[in-house]
Amino acid sequence: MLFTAIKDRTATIGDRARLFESLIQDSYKQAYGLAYRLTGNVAEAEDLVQESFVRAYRFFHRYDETLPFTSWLYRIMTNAHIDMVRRRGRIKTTSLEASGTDGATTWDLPDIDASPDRHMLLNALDEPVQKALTSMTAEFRTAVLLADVEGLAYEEVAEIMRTSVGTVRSRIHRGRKQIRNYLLKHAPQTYRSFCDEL
Amino acid sequence: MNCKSVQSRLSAYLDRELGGDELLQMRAHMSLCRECRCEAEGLRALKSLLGGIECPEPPADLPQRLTATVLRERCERPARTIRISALMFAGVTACSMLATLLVLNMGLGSHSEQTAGRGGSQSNVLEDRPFGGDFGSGPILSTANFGPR
Repeated sequence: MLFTAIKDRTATIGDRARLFESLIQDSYKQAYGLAYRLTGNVAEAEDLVQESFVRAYRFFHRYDETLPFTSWLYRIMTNAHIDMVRRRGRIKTTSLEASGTDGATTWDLPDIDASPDRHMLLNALDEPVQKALTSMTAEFRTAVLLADVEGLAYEEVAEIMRTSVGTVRSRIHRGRKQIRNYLLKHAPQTYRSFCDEL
Repeated sequence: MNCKSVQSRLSAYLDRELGGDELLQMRAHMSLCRECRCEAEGLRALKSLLGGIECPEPPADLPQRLTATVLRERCERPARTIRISALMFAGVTACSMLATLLVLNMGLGSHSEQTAGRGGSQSNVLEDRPFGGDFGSGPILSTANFGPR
């Protein structure tokens, strides 16, 4: 009886692994995109994606299949990201105004002619935007990314971050304003050109 | 609604997260206030920027590496489960055996006491070898006492 139970459990684990492999295939690109935006570099993004999938697999029995897998994975990833940042003692609480004044962050922005196209401006702003995101607290960064990059509703963001919709609303608004102020300070010409293009 | 309260809600307004009176008041204020309209346009541009930035492609072998890591996890977990199951099985068996011995001991003990009350010679044997604390000797003693009946 014991051996039958073990055999059944092993079979279930096999099915579970096969299902999970297909979920990895379907969601790794999205997961990597969010991880890259959260961490700001390729090496940490890979670590975060890996840690998130390992945790997701470990607790896969808790996954509610009626909900999108990516939402559940994002919840795990945001927690893993905050853990990772805390573990490395790197929660950024310095103001955006303070960063970049030491000359460490210099923006080698390309020369943009009088009528640049939107795509070129977007490329030029990519690095400053990522720097601005990295300078924010993990909570603000996560809220802004989930809403603006992933396109989630506030309620979904609140569910993922396990907080209230009111807190999410405040984090997103303050986060966006921080990014805008950063861009106006560190890449004013490019940012204004982008706004004028719209 | 004044400019301060309108501007604190602009992100939610742009994200279509407002409704009812709040939304109507926002619209009414912005139709009259140029400053708040400009602020809203600025945030709309930023939202568009954040939604449009591209992310680098993940490494081509990333899904394979992720799957391999998860499979390693899979190999570790059943082994642990089996080990835990075997330990639990051994524990439950040991407890059952102990419980059976205890019940047998107590049942036969009371039977022996009743018998001792009836016959004098058996009573002497029991007094020589009492049950007291000796767990293993109980059933053996009881079985031995059934002989002369």
